[in-house]
Amino acid sequence: MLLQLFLLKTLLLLTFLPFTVFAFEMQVIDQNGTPVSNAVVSIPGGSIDAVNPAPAIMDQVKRQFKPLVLAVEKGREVVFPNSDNIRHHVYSFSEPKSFQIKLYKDNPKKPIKFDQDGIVVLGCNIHDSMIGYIFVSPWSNFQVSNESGKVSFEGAPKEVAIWHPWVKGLEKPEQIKFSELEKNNFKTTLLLTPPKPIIKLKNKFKKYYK
Amino acid sequence: MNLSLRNKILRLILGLMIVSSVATISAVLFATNASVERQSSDKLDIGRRVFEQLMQNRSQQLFGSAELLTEDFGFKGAVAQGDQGTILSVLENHGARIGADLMMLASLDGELIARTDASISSTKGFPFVHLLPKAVIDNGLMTVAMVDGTAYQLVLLQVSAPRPIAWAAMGFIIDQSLANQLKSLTNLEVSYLGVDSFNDNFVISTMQKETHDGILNERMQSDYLKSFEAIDKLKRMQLGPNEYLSLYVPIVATPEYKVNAVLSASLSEERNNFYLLKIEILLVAILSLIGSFIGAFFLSGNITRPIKNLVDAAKRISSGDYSVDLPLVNNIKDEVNVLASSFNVMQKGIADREEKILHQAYHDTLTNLPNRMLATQEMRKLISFCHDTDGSFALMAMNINRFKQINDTFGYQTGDGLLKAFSTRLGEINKGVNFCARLGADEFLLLIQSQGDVNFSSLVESSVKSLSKSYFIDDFEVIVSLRVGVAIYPLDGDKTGQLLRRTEIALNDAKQKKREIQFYEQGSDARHQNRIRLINDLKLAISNNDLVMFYQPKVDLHLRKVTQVEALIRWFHKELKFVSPEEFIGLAEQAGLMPVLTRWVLKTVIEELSAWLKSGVDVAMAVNLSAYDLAHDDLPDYIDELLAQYDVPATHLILEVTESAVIEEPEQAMRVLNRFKDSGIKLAIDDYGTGYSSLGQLKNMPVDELKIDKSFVLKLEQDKDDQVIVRSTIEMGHNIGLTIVAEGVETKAAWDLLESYGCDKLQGYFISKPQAPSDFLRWYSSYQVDK
Repeated sequence: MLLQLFLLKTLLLLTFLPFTVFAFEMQVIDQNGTPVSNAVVSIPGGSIDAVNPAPAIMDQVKRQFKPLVLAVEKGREVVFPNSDNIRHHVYSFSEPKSFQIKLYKDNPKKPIKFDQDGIVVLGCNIHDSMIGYIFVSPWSNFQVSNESGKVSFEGAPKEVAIWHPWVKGLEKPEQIKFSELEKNNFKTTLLLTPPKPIIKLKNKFKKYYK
Repeated sequence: MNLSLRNKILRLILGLMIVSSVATISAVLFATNASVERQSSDKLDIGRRVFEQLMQNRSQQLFGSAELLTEDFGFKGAVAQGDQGTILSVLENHGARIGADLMMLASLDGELIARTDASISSTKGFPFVHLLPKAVIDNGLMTVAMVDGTAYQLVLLQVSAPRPIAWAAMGFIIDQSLANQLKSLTNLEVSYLGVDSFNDNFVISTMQKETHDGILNERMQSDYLKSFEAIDKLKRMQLGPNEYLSLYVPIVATPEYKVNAVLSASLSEERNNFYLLKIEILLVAILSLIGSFIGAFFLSGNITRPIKNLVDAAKRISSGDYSVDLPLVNNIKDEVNVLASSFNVMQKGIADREEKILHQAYHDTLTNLPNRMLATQEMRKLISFCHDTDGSFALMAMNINRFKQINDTFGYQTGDGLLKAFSTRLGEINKGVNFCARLGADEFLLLIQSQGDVNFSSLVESSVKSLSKSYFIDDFEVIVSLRVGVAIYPLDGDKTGQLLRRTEIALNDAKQKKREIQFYEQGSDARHQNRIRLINDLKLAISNNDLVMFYQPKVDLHLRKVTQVEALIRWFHKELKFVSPEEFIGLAEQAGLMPVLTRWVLKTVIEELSAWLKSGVDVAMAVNLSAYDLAHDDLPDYIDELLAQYDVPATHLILEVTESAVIEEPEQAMRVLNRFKDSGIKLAIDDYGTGYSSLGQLKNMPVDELKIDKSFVLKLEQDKDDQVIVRSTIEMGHNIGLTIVAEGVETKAAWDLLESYGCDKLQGYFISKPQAPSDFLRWYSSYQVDK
């Protein structure tokens, strides 16, 4: 069965080969044309044959999660080392994985395994401004855009899925037809709303009414 | 004057006091009113801050609690995971901690997630959706919001886990207890007003219910929503019985609702605090007014009393009382004192001068004897005294004989000296009960008093004797003789005027009779009175033509016909019938009527003569002139005019003058006579032989005729002496070229004698008595000289 599928796949590949490109690079930009980093671009489909046994790293540096967006395949473990010399209390109430690692320094005792796909929003109970994201991918083929907003894949999928934490209301990746992508010269534009820096209402001295 | 001055001072002081009192009271009232407003304003200002602070505190409390709530990890987790039960329990827990009246949780879209039971029950859903867009900006909101007619102090805060997932709302209700609390803190009336877009409004106030509408009406009408900005101002409001100063504190204004607070300070109450002060000040003002009135009363009295004294003194002085000196305050040189002393000096001066004037009024300045006025007064007193005491006195009027001559001879100085010496001697006689006075130039009065019936003759005689003794004046010995008229009280009269008149009459008699002493004779006065009456009648007679001219012819013995007529005046008095010319001519002379009388006579006779001449009666007219007529220079001109007017030749007029008329003022008389002569008028000396004229004088006079007085002619045939005088007079007259006329020819014998003497013209009853013009003309036409 598995072989049959593989054959079919190969056949299909062979069939379209003369017409398609075998590798492509695309760029994610925002509404201003600025390259967008930390966008997770995946090729939907395909199963995860093997989970990387090594835990992925979501570091905390200078009261920031680093990276801002970590993409892992479903079932991967992630460690949350603390590179600051202060304690953090990493938590998530997200559906795919709700957890907390209470006040700790350096490395936590054990990694957290993310065995359900979805988007996990990370926070620090101590530092409200610390927000991080773990994209638990159901698919095996994904990449996070770099500073230039670029990702590159081999082959020509039917569609790609894109997610970015700053796209409002985007709770799961947005799928774009490949043809659409081609039409747009492999550029895709996201409407980003950067979160305001989390500054709590400092109303000790504010008027009681407004 | 004193009163008005005093009143003026009183008014001035009181006026000033009233003005200043009114000013003070006004200032106080103004100041207190201003103070009331300022204090109220200050109170409001402070109250506002307290109010703001309290509201702020409540908000802070809400905020703090909401912050705690939204940062609670467990709560976040519960919200994130939609654990309804946990959420509600946490809300209740936190709400209870601060006693919040409203606890709600809503989704970011504003859908109600949870709320406590204390929260508004009537409202479904989350009532603050409209606030969320605003809240998002700052991740939270503190405000006042109005829900279903109720206002809440509200805090909205986001719940983040870590991204925003919900809104938590916490609120305190704004209600009566809050207002009360604020009132107790600020001591102000506190009201909350709210109105929403459904016109649902509320008033929460510490003031009485009745005033609520007033507060609302004042600001919460429809335009209130529009003019929200303008209401943060002080405003006076009459609410119920009290007046308030109110401050509107705007709290919130959204299109949906507006809420604001009103802080009110009672002006009335504040004023009441000043009430006592005002009463006190009013009292002080009234007291000071009364005080100043009393003070002014005494002060004005003090000022005006000396002036009143001066006024009284001036009145006293003006009424002639100089006896009282004004009291002087020693050593004080104030104006009143100086004035008072000046008054005293002035008063004395006036008294002295008045005494002098009085003395002069009643005394003769030369001799210092009393004058007629004082004499009259004294006599009046004496008469009344004698009347009571049965006394009597002799009143003597004395003339110094020929005093004029003494004056002319020795000079006026000596004359005056004589008068003084005479007066002194008079004064010596006068010692005691007697009285003397100087009545005129040389006329003196001496009154000798005695008791009972006394023969005054010896007293009078001795007095006159001592007064007549020679005087030595400036080394001259002056011998005087007196004429004295005496009247006796009560014998000759008992009235002052009567006695004086009778002494004067007696004195006149003395002069006429050339006697030294003449006692008044009974009846003299009547004669005297008669004379006066006659003088008055004579005046009337002249103007009434009661006088008539009679004519007596003169016969020229040489021509043996009537050539001249003497005009003689006759007065037929209505009652007395005939008054002798001698009598009334004398009167006319005394009364100064001669000029009038003479002119009347001249005019009448010349007019008559003119008629006669025209009718062929060729006679010359002789008219008598008196000494008075010769004393004036204007008569010649008058006669010339008359002659010209009636066309009568001057030669037909003969003017007869007596010797005495010429002798009194010889030079004047001669000048006038010469004027007549120059005009061609003939002149005759009348009554020749009775005067003292010498032939030497006659020689120098421009006369043409000499009329021998009838006293020599009337008894010529019997009296040898008269015959000698008449014959020699005729001879002598002829010798100096005069025509001689004899009058008083009454017999044929006298005619013959005179004719034998060579007399030129005869006049007398033997020829004709004086006749009225018509009678005369009749007589003239038939008369023939016999021989």
